[in-house]
Amino acid sequence: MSEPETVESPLSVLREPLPAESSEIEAATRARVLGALHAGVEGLPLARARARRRQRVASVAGATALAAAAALVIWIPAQQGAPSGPRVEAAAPAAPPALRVQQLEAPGAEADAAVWIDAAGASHALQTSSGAGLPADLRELRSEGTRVALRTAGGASVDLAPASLLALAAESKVGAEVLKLQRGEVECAVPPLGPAGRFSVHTPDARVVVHGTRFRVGFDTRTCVRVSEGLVAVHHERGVERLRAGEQWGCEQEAPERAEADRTKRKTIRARRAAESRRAKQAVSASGTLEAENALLRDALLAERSGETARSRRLFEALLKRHPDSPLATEARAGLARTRAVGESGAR
Amino acid sequence: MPSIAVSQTQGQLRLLAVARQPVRSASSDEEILAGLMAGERWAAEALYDRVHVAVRGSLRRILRGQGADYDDLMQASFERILEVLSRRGLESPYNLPAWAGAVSARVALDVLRRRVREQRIFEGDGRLGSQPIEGVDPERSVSARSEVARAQRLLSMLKPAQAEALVLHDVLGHDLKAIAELTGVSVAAAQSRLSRGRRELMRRAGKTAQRGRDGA
Repeated sequence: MSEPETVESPLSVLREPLPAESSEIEAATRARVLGALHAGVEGLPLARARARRRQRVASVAGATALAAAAALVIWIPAQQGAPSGPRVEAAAPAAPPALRVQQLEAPGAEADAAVWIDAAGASHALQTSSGAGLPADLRELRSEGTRVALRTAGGASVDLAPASLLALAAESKVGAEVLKLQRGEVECAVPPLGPAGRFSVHTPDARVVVHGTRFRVGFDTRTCVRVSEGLVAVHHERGVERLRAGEQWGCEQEAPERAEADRTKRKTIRARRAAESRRAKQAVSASGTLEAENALLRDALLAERSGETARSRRLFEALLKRHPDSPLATEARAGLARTRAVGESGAR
Repeated sequence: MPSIAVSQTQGQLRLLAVARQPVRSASSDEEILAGLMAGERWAAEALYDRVHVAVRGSLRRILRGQGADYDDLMQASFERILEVLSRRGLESPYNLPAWAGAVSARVALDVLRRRVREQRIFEGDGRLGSQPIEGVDPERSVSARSEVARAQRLLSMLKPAQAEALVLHDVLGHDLKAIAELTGVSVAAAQSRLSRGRRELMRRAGKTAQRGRDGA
């Protein structure tokens, strides 16, 4: 009779025993690693002190920012009645860290044009065309009837088209700058960034990541990217497109049925992901015995590894008998087949 | 004999007295940690002697000799260990070898992911899947190479937290409680990562097998 077909875990090959290493190799590694380790350990107290100082500074800065935001929230409503005060549109909830803008200009601003900025939880019209009085924590820009040019702390030049809405954020990763284009068009010139540097433009349906280039991103009902210089990666739901100078993505006029098909596809994908997520949650909550199953599998594998074939076989059998529908059953069956094979070859 | 005294106050390890002393293989994990925090040279050696087997074991199990320069990776693992200690220290109770093994598993997984990013696995530049596999019968070597490369590729495709939980449990043999302590999450979260990781691994394994059959 033939053995039932089993599906073995792809990781089982990594569990195979390792050969012993020669003592010469170990001694050489020890000498080499210890050389660097001594220096690292001697610098550890200083590094610890620095890390603690950074934590303290971060806590103080956080508390100060919170206090400043609270003060502003109290101050702005008090100013609303004043005739010459800034125009308040809405208070915003706590936001992620702001991207630092060094310079902002709206050269074409006319009397009927305005740049709306959102900073420290409130938005108001920028009264000047030169960017004077620009808040340090600028979070959102809305250009109405004028272009806006700004330069980020990382050196990127950003040109925002009229009637555009742009959120600015800094990622937790040092040196990463993110522009979130909700509407309109933005043109960016990014200088070559260091290894840690990253600049990206996010739209509702794509992420454009660059390293030193000039490109334009627009969003109306879908994203359109045009690259003038360098290389740009566009991450979208169907994968990643790498665009070189002169290339574009998503800008062609699409037939309405194609756009509709895309929308339907996006909806289907979202629905499928939601269903998968629901099923995964149900599976986790339904498998109350998973810990016991894990323990049985672990003990069986440890016994197998240490050469206790009979015990390992008993444990695999127990797992399959007690929990036949376990997600670990496949692996247990594979283990059982292995231990039986060892037992048979031993008997021969 | 000079000694180190430590006291536990509200979860903080407080160093009361430190004196230079020779490497003692019998130093406890607490003593080694206190020595490290004080920048003592003997503590570096004691740390190495206490954890090098676990560190090397994790690296060798995950990378299986495929283009790995273990000396460099050992050094990278110890640098990562010191970096974590400098940032946040460790919480009692300590299990230095297990913790260091988990840190080096993370280093090895990073190496795998970096290689996939560089497309070395797929384009066969000699880093993975084409070099001898340590601990494997030479007669099985060819099939073992492809099995190891497949396992590594699958691991590199998983979410880092899931890959870490799978490696700690299925390859290094830690139980859920230990995984939770080593990765700083609750047991329920560790269990969830493990079961999702396993499901995802099998799903991807099935997909690649199907692709292989279609290609053939």
